Amino acid sequence: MPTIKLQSSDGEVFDTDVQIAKCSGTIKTMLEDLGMDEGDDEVVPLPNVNSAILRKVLQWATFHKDDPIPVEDDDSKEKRTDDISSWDADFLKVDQGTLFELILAANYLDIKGLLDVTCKTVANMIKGKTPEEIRKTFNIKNDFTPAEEEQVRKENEWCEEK
Amino acid sequence: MAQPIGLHSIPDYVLKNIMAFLPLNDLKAVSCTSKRLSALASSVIVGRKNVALCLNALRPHPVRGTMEMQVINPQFFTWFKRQYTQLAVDCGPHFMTTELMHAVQQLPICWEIQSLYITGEHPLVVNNFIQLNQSILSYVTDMTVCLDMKYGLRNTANEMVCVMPELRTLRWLDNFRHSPLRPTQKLDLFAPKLQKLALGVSYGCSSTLSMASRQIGFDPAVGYYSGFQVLTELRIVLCWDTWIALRSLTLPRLQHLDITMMSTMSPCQDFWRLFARRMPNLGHLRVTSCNEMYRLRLFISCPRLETVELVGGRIEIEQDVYQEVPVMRKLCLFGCVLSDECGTVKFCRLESLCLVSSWRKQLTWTNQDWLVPNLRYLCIESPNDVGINLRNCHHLEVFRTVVTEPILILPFAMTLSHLTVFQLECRWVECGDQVASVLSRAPNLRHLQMLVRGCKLDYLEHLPRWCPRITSFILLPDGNHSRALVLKHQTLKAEIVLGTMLVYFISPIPIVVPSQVETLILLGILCKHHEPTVIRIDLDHPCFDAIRMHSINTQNWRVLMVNADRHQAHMRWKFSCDPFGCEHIKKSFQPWLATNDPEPSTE
Repeated sequence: MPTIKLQSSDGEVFDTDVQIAKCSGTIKTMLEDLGMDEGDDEVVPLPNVNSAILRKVLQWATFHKDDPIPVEDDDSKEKRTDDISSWDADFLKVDQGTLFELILAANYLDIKGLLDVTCKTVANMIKGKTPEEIRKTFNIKNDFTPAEEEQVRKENEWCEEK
Repeated sequence: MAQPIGLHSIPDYVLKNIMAFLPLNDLKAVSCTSKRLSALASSVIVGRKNVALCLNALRPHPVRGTMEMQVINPQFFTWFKRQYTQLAVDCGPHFMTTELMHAVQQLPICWEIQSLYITGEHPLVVNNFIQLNQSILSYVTDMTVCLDMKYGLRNTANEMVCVMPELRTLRWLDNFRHSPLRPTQKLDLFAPKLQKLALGVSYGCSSTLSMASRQIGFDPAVGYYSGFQVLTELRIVLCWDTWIALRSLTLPRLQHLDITMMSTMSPCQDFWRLFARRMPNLGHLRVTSCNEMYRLRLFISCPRLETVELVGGRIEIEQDVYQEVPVMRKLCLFGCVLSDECGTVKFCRLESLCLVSSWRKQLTWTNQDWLVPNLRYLCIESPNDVGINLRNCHHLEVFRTVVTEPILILPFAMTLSHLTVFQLECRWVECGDQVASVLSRAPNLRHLQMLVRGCKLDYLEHLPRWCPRITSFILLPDGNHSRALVLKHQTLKAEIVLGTMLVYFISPIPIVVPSQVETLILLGILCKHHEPTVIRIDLDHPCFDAIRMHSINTQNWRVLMVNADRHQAHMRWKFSCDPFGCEHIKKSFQPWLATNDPEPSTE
């Protein structure tokens, strides 16, 4: 089975099945643009992903390598978050920092499936919480003045679903 | 020292992606957390199709506690951060209050309002509302109007003209009872770019939207027509006056027409006689009626009519005449009476045929043959024989049927070599021969789904021989009749081995699993709850959980179990083929839709 070498930001090299690596739109484009063949010994550098996160990403990609290509969603509607598979749910039982690093890696590597499932997980962490609870959960600094916050609240009051 | 990675590290467009998964109330909460998140949440809120700024709303009074209509303070507009594109307003019983009128007049000029949701009790309030701020409101492209009033008003104009030059989509729902003692006010809407119209009227009401076709203004170059010249989609509930209006309209670009007839009135033949000429581009027709009569040649005369769905009514064919239907590709008949005449109809391009509770009434039938050489999807659900000979359907790929009595499902002479999906609901104990007659002629069958009620299933022992390419087999017993299911031990020993999958019932008999089987799916009824249960055993991961598997020898297997009651089954199992595209047919499929790979949750 053809493989390629992926190098993380901290220098670790991962010998990876090409089919799995091509789950990433970024790597796929790099291979095509740079004309790298599968037998080449050249290393694909991934300066934005450290080894721990790259390992997780490859684990996810290996499990989902046979998934159909995800379709583009309609952003003008609320999307579901209750369809995360049990494997993905277990896979994403990580600390918040790792979860956000996975989001950044999925975004950088252009892996839509992973980006979606990580975003859903964060959305589930937000759901049902008050603004104060959200701030506390994600360590967000409140930079509103009391008057500004009141204005946003007032504006929200007149905004409804039809 | 570098800040650890957190929400602040995520780029804006990824945060918007996260917010796309949040309902409105959570978005509102996010918008109150910080300035950055507020701006992002606001853009997501404004981008939602179904979120509008309400100019007034019922709210509890802060002192009295009673629900009262409160109007937005127009001063708020000066510091609102969002550029709203959708507005909602409740115009009240007769006309708007001064407060509300003031708010409408103060709408910021920079807002590009595209959608309006108007509720009220009178059609003329729509015009009054738009007139209040024409520069913004006349140019909306999408409008929804819900009106609810018992009687017409005294002392008001009977008609008003409303000009909406950019309107593309209109949904208009009337609950407006006509009283002979009071006038029925109507709104003449001039919307020359209207493309989609949904016009609903409650039972016993008359429509307050005039569909008259005429010109206004003196300059013919500017003149607006309400003649719906560019309308492409019309969904309409017909009361008497809309019916009269529809009869007189010519809709040259109409492609989709969905009609619901509310009464048994029948001034319709004129309409059906002329509708091919008046709607020359009609491609999709759906009619719901009680007793409408359709002549098949009406549909033949429509040059582009590809899809016909009829709910109720009677289909007439010509006596002893050979007719060809050259264009139609999909025909769905629900609760229709089929013609008793004898004759032959050839559907040259028909790919999908759905007959639900539709059959010929006459007891001594004369031959009626339907030739369907291109048929790929067939659904027949009927309490008795439909009375039609379907012939030449050699390309049939998907077949769904219900067996309730000893009837011939498909002619024996017909080859079913293209059949790959067979969905069957057996309601008759002795259905074996008929089902076997289909299975034995379908060597390329890949997916078999059966919902059975007390049927003998001995013939299944021949399944591997008849259908060697089968890859999935879902067998679901009906909950109320599960005890009548009979699977003999001999049948089990024949091992219904389907590629790498084996299907079996929960039974007290130990299963011998052949070596090539990787996955075992058990379908049956839990003893305690009498609920259908799906158990999936993945033989690649040997570990053992025998909590509810007392009746089966499952040592060293990992057991994944899910209580798949019908609702859950529908939620979890994907519908992999939708040959008929009809929601109520889908519902009847729900418990046992094409489920090649049911994915039960781990318990």
